[in-house]
Amino acid sequence: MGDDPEEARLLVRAREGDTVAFDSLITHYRERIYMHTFQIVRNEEDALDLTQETFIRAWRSLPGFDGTATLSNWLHRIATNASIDLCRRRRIRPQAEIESGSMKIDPASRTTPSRPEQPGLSLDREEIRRRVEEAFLSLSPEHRAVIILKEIEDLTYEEMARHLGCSLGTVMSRLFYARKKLQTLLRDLHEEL
Amino acid sequence: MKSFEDEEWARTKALLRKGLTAPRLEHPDFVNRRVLEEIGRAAMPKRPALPPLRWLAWSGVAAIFCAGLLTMLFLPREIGRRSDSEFISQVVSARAEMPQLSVSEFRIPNERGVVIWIEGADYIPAESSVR
Repeated sequence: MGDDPEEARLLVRAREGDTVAFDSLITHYRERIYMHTFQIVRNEEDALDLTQETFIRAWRSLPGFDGTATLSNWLHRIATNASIDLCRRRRIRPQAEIESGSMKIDPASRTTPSRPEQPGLSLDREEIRRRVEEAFLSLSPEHRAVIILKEIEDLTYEEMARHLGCSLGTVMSRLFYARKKLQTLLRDLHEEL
Repeated sequence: MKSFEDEEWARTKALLRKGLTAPRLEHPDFVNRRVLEEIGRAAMPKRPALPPLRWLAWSGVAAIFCAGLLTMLFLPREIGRRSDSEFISQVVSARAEMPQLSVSEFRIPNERGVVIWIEGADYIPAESSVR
């Protein structure tokens, strides 16, 4: 519904205060916004709260929405910022990062396995999922956001910069460090693929 | 040709896509309802944070009135009892010939009793008289 005239019509009505039109927009985007926020916070309850918060913030900011971005991008941007804010407030810093404490990534280093390889030991699907999630949650909220935007939602660097409201360099730097860390933490699972 | 790093990342990315799945929204209409409720609440005219001055003044008057009423209703009153003034003795006369003596005579109105109160003397000398 990006360039959809129906969406444009609903948007105009919503900006005039029509809650019925806004209700239709919520219905159209709620699932995607929920999944997007869930990807960052990895918690269903929080994702539900964040989805609601995204639409409430959007309603309040509708008069200032100039339409330079698509409604979808704009909503996703609000959702990302709300998710990062929540993670910061909650200080969601899972065990992996806390325990490693000063785990530094040398930008020049090649990735090394975080655990000794154990040939012959095959992990089941659930265990792989758990390990991936654990590694992902060990990232900072900003790093999680760039990974989701780039690797799961396939945004370009420019789109990510606009989305996150930061420079291209910042996006690339965040992505670089986030990838390095994930590679380090998940290297031993490569054999499971 | 892909570099080693690219291949490494391609594998990690495949793991991420495999592992980072998201569940579907279980009760989608709940989102609409909550959002619209919140919007509706925000649209309602807000009550001023502080009550107006006139309201405060009337509250004060009402509070004073209530306090008076409660005092009248609940403070112990002994109905039918004679006035306290009837029991207050009056100093009718006091005169002593010795300066260190203090002598008072009390007479209860309408009663026949008289009390003579002497202070400052261990005993009353026989030659002393009190009137």
